[in-house]
Amino acid sequence: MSTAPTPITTGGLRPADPENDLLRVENLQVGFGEKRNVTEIVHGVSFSLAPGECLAIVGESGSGKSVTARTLVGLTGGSSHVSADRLEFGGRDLLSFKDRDWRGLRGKDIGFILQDALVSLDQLRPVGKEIDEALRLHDWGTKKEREERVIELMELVGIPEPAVRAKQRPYELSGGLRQRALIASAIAMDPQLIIADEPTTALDMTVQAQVLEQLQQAKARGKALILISHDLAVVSQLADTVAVMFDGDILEYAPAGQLFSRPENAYTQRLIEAIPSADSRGARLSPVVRSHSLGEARKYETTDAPVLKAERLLKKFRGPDGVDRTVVNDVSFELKQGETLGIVGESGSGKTTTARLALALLEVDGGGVTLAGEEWSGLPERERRKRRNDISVIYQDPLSSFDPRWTVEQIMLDALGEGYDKKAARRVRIAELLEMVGLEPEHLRRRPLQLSGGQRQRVAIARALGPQPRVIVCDEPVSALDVSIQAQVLDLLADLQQELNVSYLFISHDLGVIHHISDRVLVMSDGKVVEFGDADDVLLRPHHPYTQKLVASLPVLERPKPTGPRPFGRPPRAAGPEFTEELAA
Amino acid sequence: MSATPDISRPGAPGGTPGSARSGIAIPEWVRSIRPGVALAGLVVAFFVVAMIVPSLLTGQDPYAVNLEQTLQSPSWSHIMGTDQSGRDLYARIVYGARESLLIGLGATALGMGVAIALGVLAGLGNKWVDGIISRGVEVMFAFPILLLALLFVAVFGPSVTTEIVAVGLGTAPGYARMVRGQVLAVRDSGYVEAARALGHPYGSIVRRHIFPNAMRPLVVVMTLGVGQSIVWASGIAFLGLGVPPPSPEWGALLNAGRNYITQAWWLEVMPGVAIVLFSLSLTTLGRHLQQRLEGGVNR
Repeated sequence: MSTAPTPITTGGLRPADPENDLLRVENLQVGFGEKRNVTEIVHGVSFSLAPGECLAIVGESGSGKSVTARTLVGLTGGSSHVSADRLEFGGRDLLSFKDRDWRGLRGKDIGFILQDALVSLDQLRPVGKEIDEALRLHDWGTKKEREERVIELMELVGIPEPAVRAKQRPYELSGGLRQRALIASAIAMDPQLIIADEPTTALDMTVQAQVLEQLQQAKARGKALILISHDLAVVSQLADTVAVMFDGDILEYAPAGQLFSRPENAYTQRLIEAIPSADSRGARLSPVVRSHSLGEARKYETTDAPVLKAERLLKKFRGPDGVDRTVVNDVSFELKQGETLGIVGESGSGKTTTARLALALLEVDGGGVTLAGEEWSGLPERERRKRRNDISVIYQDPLSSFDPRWTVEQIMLDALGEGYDKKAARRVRIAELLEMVGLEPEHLRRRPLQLSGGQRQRVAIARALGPQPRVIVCDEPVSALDVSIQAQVLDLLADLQQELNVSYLFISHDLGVIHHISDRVLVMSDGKVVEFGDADDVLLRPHHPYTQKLVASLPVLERPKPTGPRPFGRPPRAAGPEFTEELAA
Repeated sequence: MSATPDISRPGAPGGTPGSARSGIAIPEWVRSIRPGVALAGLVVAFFVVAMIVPSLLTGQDPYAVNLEQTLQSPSWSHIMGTDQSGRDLYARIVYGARESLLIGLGATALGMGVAIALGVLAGLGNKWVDGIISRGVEVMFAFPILLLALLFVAVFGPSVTTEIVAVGLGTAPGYARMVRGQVLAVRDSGYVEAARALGHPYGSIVRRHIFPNAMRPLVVVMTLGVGQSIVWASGIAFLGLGVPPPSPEWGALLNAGRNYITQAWWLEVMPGVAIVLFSLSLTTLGRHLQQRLEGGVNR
């Protein structure tokens, strides 16, 4: 996001209350580096927090939100420089703290929950011991008392069969249980303040809902809570006040209700608008306006016959124990030209395997796929190779899908389909592809490493468009991107579908993204299709209990309905305005 | 964590180093080389010159016997002393560089060649091919290099070629494992799958993606390997299984000096220093190269 942010807006906040406030931060600055070469990351932020309150700090990567949180527990590291007009917790001056003071504070008075439970927990230690350590470090109770307290804590955060679980190691637990164990150890000493840094980011939707519920309960018990997140919808479930950070500054600091319903800062407004959901269907998510159209030259005809059809797909993998596991079980779907089929499901539901079967990068164990009405999965690879132009793929992590030695130009050259034997023709086509995805010719000389995340995904999209495919399989193409970049990429995909009439098989764990972009939706669980139908039918009126649970766990951001029609975007499915230059301008 | 009152915003003046003082513009890449690395470069350059045109570095004849000046300690006329036949030790070390370096380079090239063939086959082959090659490599691992050398010398007689083959085959299993690991990692990478999805034939994927990316880290390993091979070869020569006299090959010098170690320490120390210095320098350069290459990728 390159536009210069507008100055801080703090309308509607109550004044600081020195009597009651647990945490007071005024003009906090944090920098990193050696002596004279300090780079400031946080440029003077201020906020305060009372018991029972939840402050959410939201922002995109590099906004300084995590550094701010870590400063409050003295975990910024050796090369950091912290200064502030005031940095007080419970009446104590944190600026004067030495290592010893911090150790006494962390865990006891302030609990800190990290993002990734799998990394944060010791792999070789039972989780019960992990929680016990939080107590032991602060000399809490006798061994027996601590054992009882561990079980009590695990019950409190909703871990079933705590006595059994306490003896298990992190790798034996599911992601949700691990994250809850981490919460248990953070609240073991009953700290007055809990800081959670992206506590649900790596988690599936249903597990996220459970973790948010735990934090909600802690708040209800009178604990102060600081929630760091990039996800406004998650934040809206818990926060009383929200601070929006951008590039080390707080741009807007306001009560949650007001910030979500009447955002005053332009950046906040853009962030809120950028969230894909049921309401955003057919509308643009990003303020970037498309400057050109390709015309009708390369458009595929819409036909009644499906361009990609999967029938009763079956795929088994042999586990390390020698037992076959069915990963994809009896999955069927049809995709028409110019349509988007969304596949949604939690991790391990078999959606990526389904995608690789559709691409025929994996051989099916049963059932079959047809492409453009002809046999596809049953052909030998030699025959398929000739027709791979018809179907291409965009991955979640673009970087790992590029040869690290290659420049963007080499990547693009590699992706051109047939008919570009002449050098001039290749150059024209590459320029055209770059323009389609909004990249500049100067990007050709760079390597993917030298590009930003959004630019990399654009290169991946350009590469996927290179062979002029009828179908593009998109496997979590926006999951690794910031909200505003995600918005731009989703808009781009919608524009390209509009112009080329290309079909997408779109895979995501994010219900909002799926609802935004899909015409029809397939919900997968445990390798099976649990529900399939029109996007609105499936996601607004789900029939299957699993879909209902999934939809119920989606944090929804209450926000103002858009006033009047937005510039342009994907039209409603039935009949929409034709794409024209005027609309784009 | 320390509290400092004045923190500058990014881009604030922190003092730009260099440029103002000296009149001569030193390129950035030259300035970034550490002194140790520069020294290592000089040492390696010295021995490479010795390998190609030894007469540039010494006027003495390494084979000229002078029975009036046997076992002279280092002095101005013979800076590294003389041996039991009165030959100048410095000249012998300089002239010995050719055979020693040849053994180092040859053995590494041979070892790598064998290793790449085996490693790529194992990495790309099916379960059976991989299984057979991997088990074979493990058997070779269990076979000591010195024993292998003994075997070769017994069959072919001591010579530079024998030594190259013995050390080359001895070091191959280690490299082969490394190559196999690299090939496996690249084979399962995202960009190989992306290339498959684009419909490129398998042979072209191997040639354009798998091979170059799997080989990249090996360039550095190779520079380390040359020094290591020379050390191995010296060990073999020290046991008397190396190049026969009167060759001034470094290992042979060590072997020849063994009998005079109580009277003439320099006969052992000087060739030893040459071996250590060269291997150390090459290793330093290799590590530097590694940092450069990897840094370039990660940045």
